[in-house]
Amino acid sequence: MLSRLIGTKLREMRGHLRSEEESTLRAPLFFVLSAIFWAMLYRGSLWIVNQAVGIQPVGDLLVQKLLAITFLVFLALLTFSNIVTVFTTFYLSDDLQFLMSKPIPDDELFTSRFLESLSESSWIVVVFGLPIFIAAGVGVGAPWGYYGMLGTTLIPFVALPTAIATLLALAITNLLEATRTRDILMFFGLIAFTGLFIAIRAYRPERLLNPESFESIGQMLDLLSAPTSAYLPSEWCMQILMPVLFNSGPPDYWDLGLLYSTPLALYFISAWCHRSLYERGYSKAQEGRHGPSLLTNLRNWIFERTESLRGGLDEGVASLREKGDDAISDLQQLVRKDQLVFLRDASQWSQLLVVLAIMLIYLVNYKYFEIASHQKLFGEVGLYYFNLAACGFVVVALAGRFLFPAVSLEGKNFWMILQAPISLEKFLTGKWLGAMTPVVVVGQFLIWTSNMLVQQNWFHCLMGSVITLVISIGIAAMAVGLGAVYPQFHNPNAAKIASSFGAVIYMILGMFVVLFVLAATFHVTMHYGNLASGEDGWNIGLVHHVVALAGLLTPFGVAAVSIRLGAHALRKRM
Amino acid sequence: MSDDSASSSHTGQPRVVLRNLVKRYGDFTAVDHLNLEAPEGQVFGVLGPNGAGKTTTLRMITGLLQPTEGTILVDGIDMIEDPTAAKRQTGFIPDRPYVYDKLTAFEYLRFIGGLYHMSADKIAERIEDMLELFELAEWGDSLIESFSHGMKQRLVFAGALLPEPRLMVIDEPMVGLDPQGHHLVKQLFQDLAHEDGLTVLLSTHTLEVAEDVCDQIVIINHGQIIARGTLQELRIESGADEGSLEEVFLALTEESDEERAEAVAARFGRD
Ligand SMILES: Nc1ncnc2c1ncn2[C@@H]1O[C@H](COP(=O)(O)OP(=O)(O)OP(=O)(O)O)[C@@H](O)[C@H]1O
Ligand SMILES: [Mg+2]
Repeated sequence: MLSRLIGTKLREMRGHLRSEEESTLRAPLFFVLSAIFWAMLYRGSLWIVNQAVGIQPVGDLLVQKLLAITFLVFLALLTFSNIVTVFTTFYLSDDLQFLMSKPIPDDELFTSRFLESLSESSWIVVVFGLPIFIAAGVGVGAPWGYYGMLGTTLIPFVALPTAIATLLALAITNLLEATRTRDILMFFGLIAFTGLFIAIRAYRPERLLNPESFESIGQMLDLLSAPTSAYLPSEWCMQILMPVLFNSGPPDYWDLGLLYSTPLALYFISAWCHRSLYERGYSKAQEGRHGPSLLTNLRNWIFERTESLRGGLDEGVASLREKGDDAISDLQQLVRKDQLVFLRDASQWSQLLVVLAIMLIYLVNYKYFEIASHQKLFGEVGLYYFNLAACGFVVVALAGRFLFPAVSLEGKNFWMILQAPISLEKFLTGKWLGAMTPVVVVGQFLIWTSNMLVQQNWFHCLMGSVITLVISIGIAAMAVGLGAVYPQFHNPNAAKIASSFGAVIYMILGMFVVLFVLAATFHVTMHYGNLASGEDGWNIGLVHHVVALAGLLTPFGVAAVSIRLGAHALRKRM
Repeated sequence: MSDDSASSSHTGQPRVVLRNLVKRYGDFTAVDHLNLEAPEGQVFGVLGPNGAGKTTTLRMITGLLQPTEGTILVDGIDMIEDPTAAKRQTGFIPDRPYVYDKLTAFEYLRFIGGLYHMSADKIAERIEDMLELFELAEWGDSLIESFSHGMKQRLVFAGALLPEPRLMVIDEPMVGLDPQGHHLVKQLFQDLAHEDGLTVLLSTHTLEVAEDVCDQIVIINHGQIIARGTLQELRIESGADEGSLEEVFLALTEESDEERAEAVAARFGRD
């Protein structure tokens, strides 16, 4: 029975691939792009590890600390993503209604869902974690045993958050009032986020890059050798792996035992609890699914309060009359529709909070990077470009989260666009124009405040702003266009669309565009930047200017191509 | 029937012309060389069993699906060559009334007016008329989210008629409407066709509707037209002279076990 449940899931995935995979290019493209991404992450990590090892006499400890931070970050990421996937797979998934009505033993449903959540949330570690851990091994020159032990450690490390999340979800759905379960998800999201932020800030990683900020070597050694907390699984991993990594003794078998026994025990406890409590939780979650959430109530309240502002039906009609016989712009109506739909969708609001949090964290951290930049490791040029690239990536991520799903979210309403007398290009352009403004605003806000914080000269400020502007414009179109190339009209969950196959492709391509623009404008920016702060310019010629101009224009080309591609892909699926 | 019929509306030529229309999904042919002409000022009914290809055909006529082969002319305009112009003549009501439910009814209608490039005061006038006609005036300022299925259905009707199309395409209009709605809609179809000169093309399973309002009927099965004509002509063709449309329909779409097996094999492969 269990194998059948899992088999069904696999067949379903294959069906998905078959029905959505018209282009045969898809799989190879995916592998090539992820391989490049993987390699880049690996190279970057290796570079950092090599730098760290070079800082004597604390190099080894530094590597250790960086790895501890990495484990901690992944623990937080896994916990968060598991809570979300467990809620979805155990309580909200559409096929549950069917499965629950069938005589399937509780334990097997539990196990199949458990494995599903586990695999769905643990790819993060495979994609983003492995290159870092392997780079650490290579950088330090670890023995082969390290890589074996790495695999042995990561499996239970990934399973533990899933086990915890199933228990947590069971408790929440059983204890809380049905309509509150959705709010709880948001609540946990924020808690996890804050927790992660505090944990990382407590480490003050930028200090590690700057040994001089410590008063004495002794003080630094104290900081570096202090364990995080013996109760955190990430620390167990460290205890197991570090002796092997530095070839300094046997791994801590006690911690290895803990690392395996804890998820195993939690799994059985959770399975046992599910026997008696799952059904109750499931039915409560079903009620909660349809009831209004806290945010929807708030939305309704605001909607009613603003009635006089909006003007009722009569005012609306009257204001149309005033415009006389001017034709109403279709583009404007498309944009307006998107804005209204987005603003009134309360489930998007919590995501906006996350955006605010990201911006805040970005700026707070930036101040610390400035300290680090007075170090050779970073340099002022490095800081400026690090900041530009980081801003670009924030733009890519933001557009990925909010613009990429935009076409998919038309969903069942898409027939209205298709039957209306407008071209698909116009439709996509409308989406692009409507959604571009917030992305541009966030990008400009980040780049200006961060460059002001470290008092860049006026040319660097201006150039940074221009580069971020063109990137924002291009990336926004790319998100909309590629979102149309890989649409998921049947998926109502924007967050899931934003982490789908197509979104990963978009992210990687987007980062390439950012890096390309930065590289193309590099010489010109540095030359005039230096002149502006009264230093010697760089030795540049016409060709550099041409390349820079081409770099600045590229995002517009990317935008035009993306919109075309998107429209073409949509037409092909009709 | 010539190709250069751009101003067909004044010459009494058909408003919709389908020539050798084919739609394939992979190997499966859902619509198989369909030829059809729907004249102006008529209610034109498309009947057929489940999976016959009705929805597919109607969606191609409204430009929601691209035909694999064949030509579609709406008012003489080629749907594939100039979809925007052809779509401007057309209003469509799908079988399920999905609309942006975060908009108010008024905003939804204004949005449609914008898509059809209507002038502002025309939109205002039509919105008032449509909300009135479909008894939605008091809901004009409410979020569509809070509408019942039937109300949404009526709103979609209002939206489709707002730009004063010359062709109305309706997929299963009666689903979800209450008896008053039934009555209203039947009356509406006849008024639109016979008074305003629209062509109303509808598919339905409610044979009573077809019997009451359709001037002409085609019956399709397995993507092909198996019978066409007025109700009276169909009666004669099926041999059920005095029968209701139901009897006529059953007689025409009846198939033997072998025929059914054949169709299933064609649909899902023989292995
Ligand atoms: N996207 C699709 N992919 C593959 N086959 C499809 C697709 N859409 C429709 N079909 C097939 O085309 C055939 C015709 O479907 P269509 O929806 O046009 O039937 P219908 O006459 O509207 O039926 P109903 O009365 O049930 O609404 C069916 O066999 C259906 O399975
Ligand atoms: Mg149908």
